[in-house]
Amino acid sequence: MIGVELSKLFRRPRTWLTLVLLDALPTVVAILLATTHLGPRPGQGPAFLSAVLTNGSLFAVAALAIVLPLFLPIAVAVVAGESVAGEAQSGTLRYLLIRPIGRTKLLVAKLISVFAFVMAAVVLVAGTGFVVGRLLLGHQPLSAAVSSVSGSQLTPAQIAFRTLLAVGYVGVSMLGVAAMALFLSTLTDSAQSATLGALAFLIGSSLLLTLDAATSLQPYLPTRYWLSFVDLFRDPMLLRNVERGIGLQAVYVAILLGAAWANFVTKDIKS
Amino acid sequence: MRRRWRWLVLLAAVALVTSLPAVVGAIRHSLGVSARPVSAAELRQKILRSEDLPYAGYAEAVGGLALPVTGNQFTSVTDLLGGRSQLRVWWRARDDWRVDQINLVGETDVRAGATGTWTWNYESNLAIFDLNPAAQQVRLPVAGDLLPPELGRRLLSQATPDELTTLSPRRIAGHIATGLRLKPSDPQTTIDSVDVWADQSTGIPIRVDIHASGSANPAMTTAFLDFSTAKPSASTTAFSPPRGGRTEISERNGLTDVINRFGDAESPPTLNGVRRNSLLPGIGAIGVYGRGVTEFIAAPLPGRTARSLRAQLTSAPGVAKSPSGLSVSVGPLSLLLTGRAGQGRTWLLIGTVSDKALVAAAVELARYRSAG
Amino acid sequence: MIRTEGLTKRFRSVSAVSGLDLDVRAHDIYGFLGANGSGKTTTVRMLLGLVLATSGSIEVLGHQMPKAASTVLPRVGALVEGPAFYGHLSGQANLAIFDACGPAGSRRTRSARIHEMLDTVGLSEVGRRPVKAYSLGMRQRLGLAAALMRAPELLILDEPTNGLDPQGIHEIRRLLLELNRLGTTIFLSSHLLAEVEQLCTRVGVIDRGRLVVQDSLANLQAPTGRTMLSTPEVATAMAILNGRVVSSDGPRLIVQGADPAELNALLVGHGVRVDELGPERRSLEQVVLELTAARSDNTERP
Repeated sequence: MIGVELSKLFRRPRTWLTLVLLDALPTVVAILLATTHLGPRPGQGPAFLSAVLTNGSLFAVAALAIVLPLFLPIAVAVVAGESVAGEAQSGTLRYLLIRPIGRTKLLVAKLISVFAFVMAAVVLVAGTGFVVGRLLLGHQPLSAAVSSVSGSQLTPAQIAFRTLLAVGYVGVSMLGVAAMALFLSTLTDSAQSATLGALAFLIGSSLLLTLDAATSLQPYLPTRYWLSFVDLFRDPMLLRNVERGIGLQAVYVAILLGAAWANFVTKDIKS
Repeated sequence: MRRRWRWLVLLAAVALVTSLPAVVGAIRHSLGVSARPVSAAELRQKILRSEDLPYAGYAEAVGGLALPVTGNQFTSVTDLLGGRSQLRVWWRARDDWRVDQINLVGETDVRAGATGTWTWNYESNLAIFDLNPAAQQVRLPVAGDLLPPELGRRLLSQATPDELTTLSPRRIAGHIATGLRLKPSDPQTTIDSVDVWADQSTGIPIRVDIHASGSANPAMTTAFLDFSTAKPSASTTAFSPPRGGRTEISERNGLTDVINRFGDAESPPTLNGVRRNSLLPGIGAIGVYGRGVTEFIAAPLPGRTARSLRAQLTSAPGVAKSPSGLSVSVGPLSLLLTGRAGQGRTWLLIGTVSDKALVAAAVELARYRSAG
Repeated sequence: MIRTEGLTKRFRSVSAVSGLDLDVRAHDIYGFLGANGSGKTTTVRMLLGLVLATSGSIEVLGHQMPKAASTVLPRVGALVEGPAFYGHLSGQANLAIFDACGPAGSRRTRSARIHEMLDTVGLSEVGRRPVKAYSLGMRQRLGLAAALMRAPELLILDEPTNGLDPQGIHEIRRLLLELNRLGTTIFLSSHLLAEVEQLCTRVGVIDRGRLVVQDSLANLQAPTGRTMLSTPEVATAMAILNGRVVSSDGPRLIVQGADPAELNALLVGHGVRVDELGPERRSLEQVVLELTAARSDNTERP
């Protein structure tokens, strides 16, 4: 079942188009940086963008930072919002269910395929970022040490390890959005509504993060710890926020999947 | 019914998850925290003596003091007192420590060694070496000053025994903390109380709350969220500027230097009946008056700084205009810029005393000036 | 094969189906007749476990639905409210996906079965084309192929000839009759009287959520005990059959008495020419219209 879902996902032209678009933005940024050599001013712009001018290897992480606030969640919300509502919209949902596939099983398969998409997207963005960064930016040898956020020197092996951790963490960070879109996708028969709903949830969360009056709410906002992957590049690593970020996503995924399950298992399929 | 039980199970699970922290907290609370009873004076001594003990941790300082001034020289101070600062600290000894002020996309680190301090800023890729250890001078506050051990010891350093009471112990960052409340006796103070919580076994302050008079919320809170008394390794606090980064050697605290150099006046030995504080040798022009948490500073401003500050204050909300000058209070902080544009010398008075006290000081300064 | 008792479905306060007692026997071709919006599709969805009943019980292939869905549904093939596919994939790929979902459907025989099914429904030439390039009729055939993939014991078809040309309808009808001959029970839901009349052995009629009649087609179309007569000499005939004529419509007369031979002898004896003569049978249309009209009178009266 999971294999079927994955093959359905990756045989869709739209999936690949999304992935290509996701990679296009960091590539454009890299080209602009390489031609102008203008890094963002301190305190502005995505993380690591000034640092990549000296060492291109870091562009793998910088690419993640570029797509993280908007592009990546939109892509995830589109795919996850599509997952159940899209099948309902096209009418294939009823044919899947009378095969029969257990509804819980279908939901789990959908979640796993969405997660596979998230990981594929994140790995692809980081990979593209690395290649583009090496080709266009900061022509230092691959073996050169890279300075951490704290100013100490990290060996290429350390940087590679931390980049892997960051890739994993960014992937996990997207799970809350994915679960939200999946839940909404079981509520409505319109994939677009599910996607927009999940995005509204995100935008609301990001907005509250900037509001001082919402301080007491902030530790529970799904986007609160998104940028904490930067903490992995401090020396020593600051794991406090990363741990909380993972825990928070786990709670969101559990609750929203529970809600998706409670709704979907007894839902009347009228599409 | 068939449909509902799933939602009920889900609701129960959500309730369980969300109430878990509260339940754990309540259980901890009901168990209570036992600590050896100590007298306030003893505790204060213990806290002050903890100065050379090593520690490490992660602290957050939250200030509600939004000063209506910005600009190159003031921005960092305004952010520090009016926002949330996230600090990582590794403290080995008085001349071997590291404080990282982190933000979402970078950090500013200060690392002190025997020969001086390095300040590293990731986003501007800049490391500045400073030969002058500036700890004992009058200077603008920096992030490290907000660490609970630094702030707590500083605020308690000049407290008298009759101002102190003990608080019942509580658990902070996993450590049992004994508390000390300082209620300043000075009638001119704007500080209602200062609570300092210190790690029971070492006496290192791990939380400080500053309450202004007439406000329920603390004006400033700084606390460790992770805290350890293990001695950090030397490699953590060591620093050598990274390759590819810019390096500068400079003297810090430009503003106080400028005032001391160009503020062509000397603060009087007493002001408004308060003696100039001799414990903080504010060299030259800048005078610090008062004791402990009730202090104010008098600084003669050079022309350009005065003009820039006056321009900002004139248009800032909440600033009152009086014959003595422009004044504003933010929480327990009162600020007064004396004089009028283009007329005579301008003094900046700022401190944790009432408006009235500052006005009185300003009047006296005007007389002192004409006499001197 | 299908048995429901007091099957009721309410959406919020609107009652879609109420108190439905269906009885579909093995080897039936059961015609489930009803106008659009009469609750046909809701019933079909309840039989398949897609919509959950508000009350009442459903038994399919001897098991309770939807509890036993995982054992029942693999033995059922269905077409619900038109076929649906992944448009960007080919017909073959679509069948492969549906076959790979759920139990049964061995991987080894999959491609062979797919080819066989495409052949059966006459799509073997276009199996590799993406479904979005298919015509409505081709999709309908592909939907039927998907329903037949696992040689089901029971076929539940909702409007199976929708969108097909007369030739296609004929082919499908032949296919269904052949399947039924080989032992497949067919539950056919339709609003087309003619379709049901030509294909089905038993008929259930649903009107505004209620079953108004359920009987074999033969019983419904049984002779009425009257005779239908057509003659060019209407006036003479009416005089001869004085009092026995129930109604007349041009040259056509409906006469009491179930014996056409007796009537023929009588008329011919009087020298009246007869064009056409036979026992009167009602069409399914008449039956349905009568029953539903009676119900609407009943419901309007109180």
